[in-house]
Amino acid sequence: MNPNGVHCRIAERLIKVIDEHEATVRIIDQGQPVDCTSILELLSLALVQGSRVQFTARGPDADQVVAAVEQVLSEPEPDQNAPAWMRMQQEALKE
Amino acid sequence: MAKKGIKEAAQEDAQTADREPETLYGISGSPGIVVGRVVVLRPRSDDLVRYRLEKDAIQAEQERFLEAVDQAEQELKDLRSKFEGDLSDTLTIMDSHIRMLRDRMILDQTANLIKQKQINAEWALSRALYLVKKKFDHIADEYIRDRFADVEYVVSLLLEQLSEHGQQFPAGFAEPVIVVSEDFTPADTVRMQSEKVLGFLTEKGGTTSHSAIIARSLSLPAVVGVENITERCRTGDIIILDGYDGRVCLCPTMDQQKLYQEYDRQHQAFSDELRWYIHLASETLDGLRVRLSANIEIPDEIEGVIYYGADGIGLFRSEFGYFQQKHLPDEEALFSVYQDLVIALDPQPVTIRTLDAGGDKLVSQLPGNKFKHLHERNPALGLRSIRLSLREKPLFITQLRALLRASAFGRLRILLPLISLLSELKQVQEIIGQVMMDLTHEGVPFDPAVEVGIMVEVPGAVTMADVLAAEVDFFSIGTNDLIQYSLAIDRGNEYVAKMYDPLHPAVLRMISRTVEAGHARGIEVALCGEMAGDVFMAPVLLGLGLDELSMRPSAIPHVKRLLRHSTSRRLTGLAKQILKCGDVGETRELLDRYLAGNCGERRERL
Repeated sequence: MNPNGVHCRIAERLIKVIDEHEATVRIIDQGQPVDCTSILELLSLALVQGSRVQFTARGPDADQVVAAVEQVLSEPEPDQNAPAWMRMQQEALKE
Repeated sequence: MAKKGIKEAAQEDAQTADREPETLYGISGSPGIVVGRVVVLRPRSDDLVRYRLEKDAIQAEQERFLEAVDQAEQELKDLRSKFEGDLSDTLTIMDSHIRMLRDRMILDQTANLIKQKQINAEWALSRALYLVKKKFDHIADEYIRDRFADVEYVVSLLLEQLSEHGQQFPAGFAEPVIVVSEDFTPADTVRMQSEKVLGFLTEKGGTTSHSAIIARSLSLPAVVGVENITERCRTGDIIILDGYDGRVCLCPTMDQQKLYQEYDRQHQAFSDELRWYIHLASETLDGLRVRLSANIEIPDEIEGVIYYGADGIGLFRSEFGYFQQKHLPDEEALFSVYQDLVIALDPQPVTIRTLDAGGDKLVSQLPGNKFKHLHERNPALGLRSIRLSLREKPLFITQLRALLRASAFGRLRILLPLISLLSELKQVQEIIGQVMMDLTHEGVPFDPAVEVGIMVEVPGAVTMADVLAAEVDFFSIGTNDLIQYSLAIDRGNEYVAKMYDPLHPAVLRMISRTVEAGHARGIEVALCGEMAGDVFMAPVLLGLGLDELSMRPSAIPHVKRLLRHSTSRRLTGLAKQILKCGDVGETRELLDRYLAGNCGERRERL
């Protein structure tokens, strides 16, 4: 994940890609499912590098949205040389 | 249906029955009686306006909030468009801000709080922000925790929008209301539009507190210094506000309401009689002329100045131009205000006092970050008035340039506040000389013979009045501060406010001494404190030989009536006797006898 964790920019991009897909994405952090439409909720989860969370997606675009979320989270900062880290586990629970 | 009506009425009765009519006493801040609903503004710890809403007002308040969200969003989008094509990072951050505006933790939360708690949008929004903060406070990661600053930024944009749309203050009320608060700051009173306000009621303050002065200048009734009033009445309650006697009736009966309306009618009838005096000259029976001029704070008051037949403006408090906006005013803005006043009243004099910030008009509230962190332990004796102007020269020069430029359009007089020392005055004169030279070089017209006077409001200046008189064109005695400084009484402190007595022999002797010193040098001496507008004190002041009394415009006809029923011999005789009094009690007795015998006035009011 981005070395600085999920901050405003990342959160904004996350919500944007989720918006573009037809799916309801929830993030489960320590058992509490959080709906991924509130940027403030997302920020307040304080996802830092190394955090382990679960994403769930429902809806026709569930697969695509999971891939997109994965990509956003693994993207490096455009102006930073640091390599992208991706230690999170994402599991798509498709129903 | 009829049954339901009875049931409802019974319930209402039960509700009002548990609250007995009650009369509370405070200090009369501004005359007049009104019956109306109140809005209680909460005591504040920050600069937020807080008040509870009536049920009917909830929806309008929510709409006001949503409108602010729309506007703030538009503002951010406009800003974003300026960065278009720039770093995508910046744009993404801006997008995140736009998204925060409509985040459920802000938008839904605030709208819910408005409804559930029946509070105004600003208050609800600040509570919503607090809830977000609590969430963020748990975040261990510093970088993410600091993102709370972004949330604060977005909320501040919203608050800005709300304050711009809070012009129908207090928003959400269709009918004008009586505003109740601990006290009002200059900023509050600017925000309140007079047509939405019936009157003011405060917990703190005396007759010369800011709230009282504002109320009088707007001709709205006010009662100040009523203990715990913000706790004792609730938004939506109907009360009677009696500004003549400093009384408040909570939960009044219908009979009480009628009685008070009758009082008000009688007062109105008297003021109708006073209208006859508006167009008559201000002189005694034996032809002694005294200028009765107006004190004003905002340019809009000019209508009242002309209506009440003032002989010019004796005191224009220039502070409002400074506290109204987010930025300090520039020369052009000040110039256009001063020019309008001078032209409107030409050929009568317009006396403009230079910035008198400080004391109860806090310097730290001046726009611009420079003053934000100024903390003074004792502001009344601190960096205020002319001291601030001399310290912040560019600020002072801007005002002087505007004043001098306006002097080319009529009779403008510059009044310097809080002068306490000859060298201070000389310093100002030097700056004025320099500004005049600059204007001459630039070919900008001004009146080189513009009159410059000083406020005599520090006891030290009274003592040195003979020396100071040689250096200026006029004196204006500012009794509000002079009394507070010489009797060591804070006029806004409810515990000692009652000791603040303009008829204290020390005060009268100081006025007399200043008049003598001025006249010995052939300059005019004016008095512009609140006491000038008190018709029960005017005979003494007139007897002391003041050349000009400057007061709130609406008091002019009443004082003029008294003047026109007096002779200069009797007035001087009264003043001579009063100067011999050793105590306030004696002074009052003499005055009462004089008023009853000569003017058919009694000090007791209705």
